Amino acid sequence: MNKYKKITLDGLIFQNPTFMLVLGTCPTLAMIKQSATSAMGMGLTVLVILTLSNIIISALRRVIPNSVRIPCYIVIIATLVTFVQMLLKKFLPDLYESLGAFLALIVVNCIVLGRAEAFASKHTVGEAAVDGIANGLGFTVALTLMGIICEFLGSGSLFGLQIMKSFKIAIFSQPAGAFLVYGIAIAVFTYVIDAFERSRRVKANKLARENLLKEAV
Amino acid sequence: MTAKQFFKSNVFKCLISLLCVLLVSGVFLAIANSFLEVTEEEMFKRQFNKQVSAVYDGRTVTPEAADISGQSTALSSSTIQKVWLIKEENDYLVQAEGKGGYNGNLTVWTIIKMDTSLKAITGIRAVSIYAYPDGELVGNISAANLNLFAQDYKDGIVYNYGDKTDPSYVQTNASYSFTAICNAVNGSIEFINAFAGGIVKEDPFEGFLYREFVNTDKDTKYELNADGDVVFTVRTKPNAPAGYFTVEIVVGTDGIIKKYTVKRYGSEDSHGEDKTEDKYNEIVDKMILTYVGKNLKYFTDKLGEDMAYPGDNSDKFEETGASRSNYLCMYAGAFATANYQKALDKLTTDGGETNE
Amino acid sequence: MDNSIVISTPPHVKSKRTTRGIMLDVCIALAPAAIAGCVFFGWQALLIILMSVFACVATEFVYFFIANKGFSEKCKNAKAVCLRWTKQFDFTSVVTGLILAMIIPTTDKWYQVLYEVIFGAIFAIAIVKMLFGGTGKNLVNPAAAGRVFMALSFTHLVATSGFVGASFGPISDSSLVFTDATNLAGLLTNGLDIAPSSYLSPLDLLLGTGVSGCIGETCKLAIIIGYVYLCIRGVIKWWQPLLFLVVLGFTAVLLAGFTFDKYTFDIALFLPSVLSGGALFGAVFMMPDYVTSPKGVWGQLLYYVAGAILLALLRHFTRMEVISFVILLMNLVTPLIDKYLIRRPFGYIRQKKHKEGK
Repeated sequence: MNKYKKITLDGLIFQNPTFMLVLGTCPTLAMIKQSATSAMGMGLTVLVILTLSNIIISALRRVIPNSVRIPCYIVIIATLVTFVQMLLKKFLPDLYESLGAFLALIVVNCIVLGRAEAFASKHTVGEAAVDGIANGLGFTVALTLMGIICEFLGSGSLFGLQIMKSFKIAIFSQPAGAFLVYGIAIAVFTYVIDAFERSRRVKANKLARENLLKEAV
Repeated sequence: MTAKQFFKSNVFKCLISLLCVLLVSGVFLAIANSFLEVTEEEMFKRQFNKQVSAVYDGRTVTPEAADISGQSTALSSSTIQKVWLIKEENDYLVQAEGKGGYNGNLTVWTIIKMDTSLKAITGIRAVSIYAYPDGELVGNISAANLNLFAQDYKDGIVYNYGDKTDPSYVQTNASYSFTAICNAVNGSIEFINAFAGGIVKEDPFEGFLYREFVNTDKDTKYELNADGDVVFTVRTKPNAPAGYFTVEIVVGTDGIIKKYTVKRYGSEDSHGEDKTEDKYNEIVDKMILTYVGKNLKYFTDKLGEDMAYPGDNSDKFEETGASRSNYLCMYAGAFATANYQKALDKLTTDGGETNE
Repeated sequence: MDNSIVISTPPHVKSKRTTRGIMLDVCIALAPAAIAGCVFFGWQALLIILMSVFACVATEFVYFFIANKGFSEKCKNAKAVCLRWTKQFDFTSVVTGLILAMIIPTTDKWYQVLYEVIFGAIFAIAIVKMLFGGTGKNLVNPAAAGRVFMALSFTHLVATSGFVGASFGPISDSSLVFTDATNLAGLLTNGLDIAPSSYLSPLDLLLGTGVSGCIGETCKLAIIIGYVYLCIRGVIKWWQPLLFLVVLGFTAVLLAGFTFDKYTFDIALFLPSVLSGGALFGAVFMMPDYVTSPKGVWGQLLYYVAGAILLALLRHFTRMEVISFVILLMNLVTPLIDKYLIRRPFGYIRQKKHKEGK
């Protein structure tokens, strides 16, 4: 139980792929400047593909020899992406259009390949699945938050609902503004995590000191 | 190594596993493709529902492809690609490609309202952008801009929202794209006018040479005069800063210019004391006198077969001081002399009708 | 903080100059241009200048307050932090605010420009200057970066009627200016010999009468007065803007001559291309900024010559006023220039090679 909790928290917060590991920046920048809905869509697509690829690769981890593991992983991920592409085109054409060229780029998304290489090939299926879901969720939440900010500042709307009619800072609908928001978001996130860690350390130190005093007495 | 060794070695295992993965993936994708394929009709239905159904407030409509073979679909600034008839609403849906966009041509869907006999246009219901090349600033053209077509429609209108010199100009920050859209809508209206009226519109300048050097859309025409010569009224294109000229050229037998008059001067003031409009007009008047009595060979000798504009102060022809205006007049002269025979044939077989 | 003990490495130079003093000099030099701008463009221009300066100073204050723990422990240190800020306040943000205000145009929607300049100021000070370390550590000129941010974000500051993309200069509403065409835009689209009838004489350009453009950059005479003052006070070197402008003019003449089949070098194009747009303002007030320009003489030479050629090229091919972009580009190249054009260290004497034999 504790193991799964650790994996989840790591994937979601402490090793968040977007803010802490800074992986997969290309689709990040492209999607957050479009709108919050396309950012969320990209996040969820990556979540699905990441989880499925983690499960498959973890299941095959003893079968695939070490020397060909990268080509095999790429083939598996590419198959999954193609399949998801077909599904989206048939059932969710709006999402398919908004993702555009970046749907095919998920094949070489660092998050997918990185988690497959670093985690799925060394852990059981269950753990790999949880890790995939956690990382995917972390990616989605990060993207959605930044997408909301960019969309609100850039076009005054929120998930398509026009809130501010004429106030728009157009640079946030362009990659330059997305980069700015990304950088500032990483700074804020790191600050929050640091503060959290610091307070946890302070509490742990206080506890340790009290224990020491108790023992000395 | 021996065969047995090979089969036990790492290399073999790698190859086998890779091949297996590839095979399984391929089979899986093939099966998936057969189930999840999206056909052309489905794509069209989806586009139709997305872009058009909103206009009809959700009423079910079925588009029916109309047969436009035999019509001239290549208009001067647009190309008509497909036409559908929406029977329930008496509308024509025209898919036209408008030229003049920033990076190419824009494809536009225009829904044209017709009267119950399907012969006359009563208005425009909606205009939507179907496809556009990369880089067009289509995002700057708002829904309100596209609504203008429906709002401003009246009989005989030619939309010019993208033209900065036109009083109806609408600032969108995407004037090239908007011009292309206007071209497509204008072309759609023109086409439906001819198509619905049962007229098979003929191109009066079909097969004419050097069409691209003059403006065949507006004002240009040719007719026979009492002597049996062809009188060309040619409106040239502008050559900034010179505006367009309208000239009248009388061409007689063997394609020789008998008379050349300028009906509208296009020269405009330029910088410098001696470069006023009147000065330019004087020079042009002098030059056109030299064209009388010449035929096509004179113009092709001066301009070259391709008639490309060689640039100001080029040593390709004599210094006239009004080169740009002059070139326009020469283009008109070449157009008239080159097409004299064709025009004559058209006029005499058509019974001497005037063509616009 | 007690400033009585200062630790530094030799050579020690005693001087009365402070950052504050230099910045005040620049403010005084900017004053004629600011006054001219207000005269030409009305009280809206004055409002924009004031708002810009206020926004820049306020941003710096807020950033300093947050970064120095003014908010911690329920604002106990608030007063101390405020005092600390006033003590170390060098007028750099005032200068940034002034320059930023002077390179934006007023439009008929001046109230919109008012709040847009706030965003430009926040970007310029908080992100370009303070995030990188404060005074002396900014990577690029903050005013130029703020201007570029505003141009990319608020498209009505860029668009204009009549001339394609003649940005940074013209104003879309003719009620605020005497003519309705900026000379630079006319120049770029038509060249000198077939310019439209609203072509302006160099005298008009110099005085700025009838030229539409950004608030501070139209009256060239005022900028020249500021330039002379700065040279007298030793804030900038006299040859730097001159070199920039001369190279700019010649390159523009060359480029205009090469476009036609015959090479026509119209030397009359020199003055208008130098006096139009923001080139003079940028050359005097923004390019010689100490932080973002190279330190050695050779480096500076390269910086100004390259900047001028780049500006002429970009102006010619894009038909837009791109001085702010060029300043940003050259600022980004400055560390490279500094690294490779090594200056002579203080006190270094080159050893003469001894000849063989006698």
